[in-house]
Amino acid sequence: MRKRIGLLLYVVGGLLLSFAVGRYGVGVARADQAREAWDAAEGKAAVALARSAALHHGMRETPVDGAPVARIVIPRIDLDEIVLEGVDGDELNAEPGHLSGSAYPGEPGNAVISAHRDRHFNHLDAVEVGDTIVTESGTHHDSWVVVSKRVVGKNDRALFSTPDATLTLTTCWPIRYLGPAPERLIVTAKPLRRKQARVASAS
Amino acid sequence: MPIRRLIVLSLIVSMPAAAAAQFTTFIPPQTKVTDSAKAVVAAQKTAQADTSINTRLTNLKTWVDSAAGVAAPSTQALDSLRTANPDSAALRSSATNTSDTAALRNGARAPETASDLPLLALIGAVTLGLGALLLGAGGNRRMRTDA
Repeated sequence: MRKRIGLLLYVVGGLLLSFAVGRYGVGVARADQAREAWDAAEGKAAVALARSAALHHGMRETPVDGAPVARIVIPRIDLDEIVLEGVDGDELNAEPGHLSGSAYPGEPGNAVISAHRDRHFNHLDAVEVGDTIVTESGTHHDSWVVVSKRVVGKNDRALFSTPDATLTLTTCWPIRYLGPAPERLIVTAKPLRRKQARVASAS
Repeated sequence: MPIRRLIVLSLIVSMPAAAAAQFTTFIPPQTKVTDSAKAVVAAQKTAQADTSINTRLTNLKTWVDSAAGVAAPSTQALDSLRTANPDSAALRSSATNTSDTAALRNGARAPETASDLPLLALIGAVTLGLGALLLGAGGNRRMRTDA
């Protein structure tokens, strides 16, 4: 009897462990793909073209979920990741995700980027007010300075559209914790300086 | 008539002609017919450019309004743009509506970013360990019994 229970636990545990490791592996593979796509400037050019078209045609093009839309660098926590469109499980399993409907980094409005607390933003709590963040989103290359850091409830409506360019990073809180997260860590940054890339060259 | 007087007379007669050749009155150039044609073309280009600028500004305003969640009426300028650029149809098909940005305007919750994977991995590892322990204990007991 004990042997059977042991065997059952062994199999179930192995399956659970394999699933978790497999998901991490898939995420890493997708992150590599996104990085390659970005480095090859495919995503960059596509985004630039989309921005250019949006500006010239008065419409906003939404990249498909999972497409690389930006790059984010936070020197304080040695983070350099490609941001994917969307904040669903598949996107966040691979890379930080851009909240659809929010602005893109560098555009007027609030650009919201989220990531898992146990993955890319597992050291977001180490970011302090005054730290620098760099983003690149095809047509924009921006440096940001962190202006606020706060913890809100998971049901609090803490993300608002802003008239000026704003970068908001979110992750679950507390960071080093297993299970559902009752709160969210919100880091807000404002642009330091802006370099507008040549849209014409991209289009 | 002496020859000297003839020379003086001829000088008096020829000098004004030479002077007239040197000091002519200003005659404004005639207006060319082609200039007016160029002016018309230039005026048309300016008008077209102004129309284009108005079109872009109108559409930009539409986009800004849409970003702000305000419904903006469609304009004639937008229609003319669609006619001018057939690619705009493809863009239009995938253009974003204002609903998402409107949701953000009213305040949105931060996305759920708590992954279950660490918990699953921990449970899996513990379960696996327990299973291995039980299997090992069962094996040891059997060995002891055999001995």
